[in-house]
Amino acid sequence: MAQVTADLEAIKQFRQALLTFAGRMHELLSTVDVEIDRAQQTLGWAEDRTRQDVRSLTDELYRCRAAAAQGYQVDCSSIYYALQEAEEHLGRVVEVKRRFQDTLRWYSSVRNRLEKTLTWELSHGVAFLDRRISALEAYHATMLLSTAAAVAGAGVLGLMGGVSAALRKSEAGIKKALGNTGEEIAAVVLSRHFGLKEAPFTQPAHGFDRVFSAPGLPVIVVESKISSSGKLRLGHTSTGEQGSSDWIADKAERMTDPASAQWSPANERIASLIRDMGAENVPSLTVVTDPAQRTADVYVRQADGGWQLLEGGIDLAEIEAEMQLDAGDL
Amino acid sequence: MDWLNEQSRSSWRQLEREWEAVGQRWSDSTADYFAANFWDSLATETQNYLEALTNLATLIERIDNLDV
Repeated sequence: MAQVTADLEAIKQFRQALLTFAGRMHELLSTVDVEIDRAQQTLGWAEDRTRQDVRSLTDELYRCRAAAAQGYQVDCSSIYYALQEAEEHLGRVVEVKRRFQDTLRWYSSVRNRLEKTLTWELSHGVAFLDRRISALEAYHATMLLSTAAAVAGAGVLGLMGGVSAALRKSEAGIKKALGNTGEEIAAVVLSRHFGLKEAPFTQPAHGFDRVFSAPGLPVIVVESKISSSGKLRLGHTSTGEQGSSDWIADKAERMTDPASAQWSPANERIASLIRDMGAENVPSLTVVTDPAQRTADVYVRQADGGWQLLEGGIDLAEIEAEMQLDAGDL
Repeated sequence: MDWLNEQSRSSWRQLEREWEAVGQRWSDSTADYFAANFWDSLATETQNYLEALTNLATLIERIDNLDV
């Protein structure tokens, strides 16, 4: 499963890189177009100005020579040399203009082909990656079900062993391991004790811990915490407290954005349900596991944003005994 | 124009690195299909564009330096 996860993450990362590249290139193409307009203007002004110089110097030379023909003592050579210089400069401007037009024809053709590739072919490519990601996620989900079956076999208290094992890990690994274990315990408590059903959800690095549903409630957002004091402590983010309606709305918004790391087909469906229900109407639960007491408390978010204890002191040993009984019946 | 040219090349180099990185994790027949149908044409069109952009940038620099 580690290999599948690695492949999945690698493809997701590449998908994001492709979209970032396309976005940057579209911006660059537009900026180059502006530069081309500016260069064309500069070239136009240069040609107009040089042609005007040639015309006025030609007139001046004509008048000078007419005066000389009438017997006036005039020296027209400086005007002649200035005219020669202006004509040479005009020649250079015309040559640059001709080369610019040739280059521009080539550039425009290549630019349009790239733009078409970035718009059409890349969108097909991203759609192909999405299908690949969905396939890997489906495979991953199947493997998770197997893991869940193994977890059911090991029991909730087995997971508590995971908490103890996590505490023996290096400091860097503790937080992640505890988080994963807490989520597993929350999932078992909510499904076994409350009869909630876990919804398919691609868990991003920063987002909801789990998503459940119940009859009449298509989305229930779940946060899980491991607390040695058994107290509820939620993190505060720039978009509000974890589990709050603002926080849920922000996460849902990210889940609908294909450029976001939190996007996936499954997450987009959940985000769409959240939008339809209104984030403030989405039930939000937090499961706090106390590893010392081997109990779990479940809190529900109230309309005023406060948290009310839904049920406290849920005995994890009892849940395990029920699970073992069910396993025995099978 | 030079910065635009450099920015385009840098974006492309970055994507090439990402492609190489994903290639180490994704090397089955679906990866071959993706390469043949999407990546190769993107690579060709991008490289053609970068070449055309370099020529254009050189010429625009010459226009900017025209003594008017």
